[in-house]
Amino acid sequence: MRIACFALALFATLPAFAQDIAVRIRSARPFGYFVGDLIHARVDVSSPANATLSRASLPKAGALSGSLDLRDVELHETSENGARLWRLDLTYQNFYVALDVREIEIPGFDLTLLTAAGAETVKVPAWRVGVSPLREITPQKQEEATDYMRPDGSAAFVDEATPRHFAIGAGAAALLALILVARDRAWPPFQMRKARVFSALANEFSAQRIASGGVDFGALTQSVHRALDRANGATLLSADLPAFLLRRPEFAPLRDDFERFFAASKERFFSGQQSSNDFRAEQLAQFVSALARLERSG
Amino acid sequence: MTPLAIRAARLRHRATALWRETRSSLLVALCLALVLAMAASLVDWRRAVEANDAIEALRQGRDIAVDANAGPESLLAHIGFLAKRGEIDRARAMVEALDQSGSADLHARGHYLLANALLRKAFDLIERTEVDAANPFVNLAKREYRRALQLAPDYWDAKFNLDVAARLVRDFPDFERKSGDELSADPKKLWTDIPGKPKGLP
Repeated sequence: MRIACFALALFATLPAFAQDIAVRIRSARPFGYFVGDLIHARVDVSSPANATLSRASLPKAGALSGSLDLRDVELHETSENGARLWRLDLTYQNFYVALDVREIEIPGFDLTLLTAAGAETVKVPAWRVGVSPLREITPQKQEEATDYMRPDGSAAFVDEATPRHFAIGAGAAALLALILVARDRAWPPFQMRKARVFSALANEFSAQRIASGGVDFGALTQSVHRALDRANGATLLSADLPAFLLRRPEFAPLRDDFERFFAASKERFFSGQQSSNDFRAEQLAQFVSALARLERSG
Repeated sequence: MTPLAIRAARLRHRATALWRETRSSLLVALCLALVLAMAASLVDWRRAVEANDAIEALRQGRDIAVDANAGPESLLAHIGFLAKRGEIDRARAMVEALDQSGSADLHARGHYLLANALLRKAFDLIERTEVDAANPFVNLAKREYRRALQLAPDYWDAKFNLDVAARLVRDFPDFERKSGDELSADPKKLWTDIPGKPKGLP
């Protein structure tokens, strides 16, 4: 805080209240304030340990006079050498327009200390700071009266860069996330991923269904066989199923569906019937999408 | 393995399983959220560009209707436009609207622009030797500069122009300052006067 570099200490011990009550006023600098400048002051009131400062007696922020505002009052309580120290940080604002360098008075105020013996009034004395003019008394002659004024200033523009950068960042991140989703779901160009054989197959099915309105059960069964072979690394027959499920435990919940698929496939290709009643194309598509889902959580 | 370690391992296993199950859906959700965030930023950007176009047009002196609910920068640009044309009452209404939104810095600039308009009006009246009519305008300008400085104590242009205005009309306090917080800043305790038309010296 700026108060830390205080250069001036005004002392005002109050002999009236016998022991221990002392008031110190310190300000960052006692000179060189222009109109509108903030004047920071710190008032330290040391009191006996059993005394408390009545907060109601603190000065109120607001206009003190036509040319001085009290903006801010902060009270901190500390202790120093066994005595209580009430530290009052005051911020004034000077509105006195000086024509020459002169001192203005910062008015004093009364504080109330509550002790065992009753309330005591502590007077914080008035003190002075030097104010300075901003302009010379007789400025150079200007053509227009308004030339003596500072101009209106430049326009304030809305910040465009932040939303633009944010949009670019979010767009890049969304693109990256989309690539990750595509890779996870084996969307092109990731349809050849070995770890997503069934996802790619499921995508192919839905594309076929949209394109031709239906799928050929025989072709479908064959492509499921090819996919299973790829996932297994070698041709997968119904006899190899237990070993395959041991190696790929994530597919174990679908053991019954695997068995029904092998049975239906056998019936389709070896018994000469067109399709089985209990394992139709629809169910086969569901089987493949279940495989795809489990594959993604593998 | 202690029971605690077993429990921790089981918990870890369950967490891993849950992560695997939801990973795929979370990825889709993340992608959608990012797309929405991008769309929202694009809308913001578009609005900023439109507002800046309007501000630029106002700066170049074209009157563009600005809604009282518009952004603080647009309000400020409109105040600047009105102040330049000396439309004090409309500018004051916009300053009041500006005080409801935006940062203290922009509020200060709004009050400063209004004060400049008031002071220019006062100069205009003084040049036409209507000194009595100029007096209230100077006092209003001083009040607005003071407000601007209360909002932004480091506003040097406002300090300078407050100096200019204060030299036109000096405040003469008719009281002795004695003790601080008992004193009111009652305007009735001040009397103000213009010393006469300044001969080239505001």
